[in-house]
Formats: sequence, C-alpha cells, structure tokens
Amino acid sequence: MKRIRTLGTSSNFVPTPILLDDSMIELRKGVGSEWFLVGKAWDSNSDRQLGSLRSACFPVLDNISPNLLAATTCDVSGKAMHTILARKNGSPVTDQASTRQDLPASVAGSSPSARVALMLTRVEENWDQGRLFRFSMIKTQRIEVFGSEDGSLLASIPLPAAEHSSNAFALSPKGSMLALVAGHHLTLYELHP
Amino acid sequence: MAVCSGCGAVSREDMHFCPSCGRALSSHDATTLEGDAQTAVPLPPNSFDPAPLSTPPFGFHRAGDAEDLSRFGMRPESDREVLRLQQSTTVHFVSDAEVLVTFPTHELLRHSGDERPTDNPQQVCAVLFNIETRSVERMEHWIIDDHNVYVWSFGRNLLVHKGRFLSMYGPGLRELASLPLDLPLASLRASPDGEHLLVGELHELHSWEDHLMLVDALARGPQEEVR
Repeated sequence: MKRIRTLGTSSNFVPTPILLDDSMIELRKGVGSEWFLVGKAWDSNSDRQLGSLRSACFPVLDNISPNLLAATTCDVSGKAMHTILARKNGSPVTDQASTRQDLPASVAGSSPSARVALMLTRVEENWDQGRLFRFSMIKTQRIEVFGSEDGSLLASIPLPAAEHSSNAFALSPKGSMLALVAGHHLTLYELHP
Repeated sequence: MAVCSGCGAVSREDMHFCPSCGRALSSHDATTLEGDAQTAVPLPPNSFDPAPLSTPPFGFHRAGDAEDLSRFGMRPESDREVLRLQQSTTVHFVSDAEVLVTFPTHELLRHSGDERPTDNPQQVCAVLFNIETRSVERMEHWIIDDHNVYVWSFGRNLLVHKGRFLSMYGPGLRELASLPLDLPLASLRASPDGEHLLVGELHELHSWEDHLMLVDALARGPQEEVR
C-alpha cells in the first residue's frame, strides 16, 4: 500500500465520497429535494454529473459492488426512509421503503457475484426514528438477498435471535453463502441458485 | 403455525419437517404467531419474534450446526440505550472457505499514556473459521482505536484499522501490508476491486480541553478538518 496523493481538505461534517471500481462519486445539493451524483474518474480531474436522487434529508451513500451504490434517503413527506440500491446514474435497482419503526438498513455486497444482502430491523411500535432504543426493543430482523442486475428478491432469512451489530453478516465471494452472527452463534446459510 | 428453531422458517403445524432447512420440527418449534392467547406459548426471556416483516422466509437452507462464539469469549451486550445498531461485531469472508468473525471482549484496558482526544480503544477478538473443515484456523486479539467500523472488504482481501495502522490481510489472515496512520482515522472508502482506497485523516483544531468541552456542548461534537 502506498499513498498516491492528497485529494484536498474537508470537514468531519461532510460525507466522504464513495468509490466504485472506475470512479469516485460524491453528492451535491440541488434545488429542493434533489441531490446530484457527481463522478470523478481516477484518470481525470473533471467532474461529471451522473444522475440524481430525491430526498428530504441528506442521503447516506455506500458502495456495495463494482457498479452499484446504496443510498438511504427520506421521502418528502418525512414519514418514510428508503434504502435504494442504484446504478451510478441514480436509477434504482431496488427501493425498500421503511416505516418510522425501522432502523436504516445495512448492506453487504460481494464484489465478484451479482448479489447484495440487506439487513432490515424493526423496533417496537411505540418507538419512532431518531429516538433512543434498547436492543431488547428490537422486534423483527431479517436479511434479504437481491440480484444486483435486476433487483429480484432471491432469499429472505429471519434472524434466529436479535443482533445488536449492523455488520454481523456477509455474502461469500461467489454469492452462494451467507454468514451471520446472531445470539452469540455463527450460522451459515446456503442460498438457492 | 410452527416456527423452525433451526432457521426460523414458518410452516404449518401439522408438518413434521421444516420446508426450508429440512430440520425435524418438534413441540419446541410450535408457537402461535396468529393463535389465541390461551394456546400461545410464552417466549423465553431472550427469545425473539422471528416472524418476518412481510416476506415469508425462502431461498435458503441452513448449512450445518451454528458455531457457539461464547467459547471464544463473546459476551452478551448490555441492554443499554442507543441511537443506532452497533458496528462492533463483524463478519467477512476472506475466501469462499474462510470466514472472519470479530467481536469486542469488553476487557478493561490499561491507559497507554499517549491517548489522543478522539481515541476510544477497545479489545476485539478475531476468529478465522474454515467453513469447509469446520475448524478454527486462527484466533487473535486486536486493540482497535475507536467504536467506528474497523474491518472493510478490499477486493479479495480485508483492511483492518488496528491501533494506529491500517493493515491488509489475505487468506489465512496473513498480513500482506501495513500503512501507519499519523493522525486519527476520520473516514475510509475502498473500491470494490481493491485497487483504490480513500483515507480521511482527522486534523484536530482544538486543544484537548477545548475538544472535550465542545463534545459536551455541541450535539454533533466539534467540527474538525479532514484531509
């Protein structure tokens, strides 16, 4: 590993750009609820507008596979969050809407395979987003596995016990297995082809 | 309805085998997700409603028995108030045959004397399982610097923020490279192919005393510079 260059100076309040295989992508605020996805190729210093997202809150971006990004957005009514798996032009492959009782979904991709896994968590009915909660208030958790080409739902796996960590699951490189820690146990699942 | 204690799949109560994982269903698996109060089996204190949000379980079967991690020192998390799920337990495939699990050991640590305002060290246990031979290939203890994400996939390898270094590990948990971090890690992004890495280092703009005062006074904490 070697340092190549310093890109610039920013602030700990500004989200870091995400990296896909061929470029770096950052968000720029547009008018109203529009957010632009701006790409910068490794071999170029010029910015290119790739597409846009709509969100009433600052979207949270993550990279999950060579050409897909995950975005957590809020709808304009403020009543729901969306976890979108999108191509780099912002066009959605899947769009998961969540209620006010759902925590932001966490995402695990697998670089060589065309599968992506999402962990969904719902807290008790009398809890609302943004408020403190206890792990014992988690009511339902499951992992959903999607095909990253067409967004098809390939598997839905309920967690055998509540899990407090959002990083406790992974897809195998070939995308044929899912490993999950919940309730102090590591469990392996074979995913149907 | 019956809920399989193996994989959590829901099936009819008159079925003898779980349609999802093939496990034999017993009386312990019977519960009433939609039954009346008289026939409801109370769930034990630590159990958990496995009913999915809306989609019935499908598309998988459990591969072998679950591995009990308490024998490696995994302890229950205290039921404290939090704003979000934690990031302390991690699972990563290092190859198709190897799975790395890391989790905090909640050990008390001795002060090193040269901590920085942003340091929040904790010990984690890292266990590498071979899922084909069902054996433990390696176990290590790491001191990590904060309570943020500390393991990332990086192409076919893993990156670990351990102490004041960023280390790259390959199959067998062999350390392939290590990069010293002069300053606290503010953010890290890795390209999926493992070719590019974006590391944000935090430049503290305040004295330790001012920093701690701002942490108490400001909901988002103090603004610092990231390079």
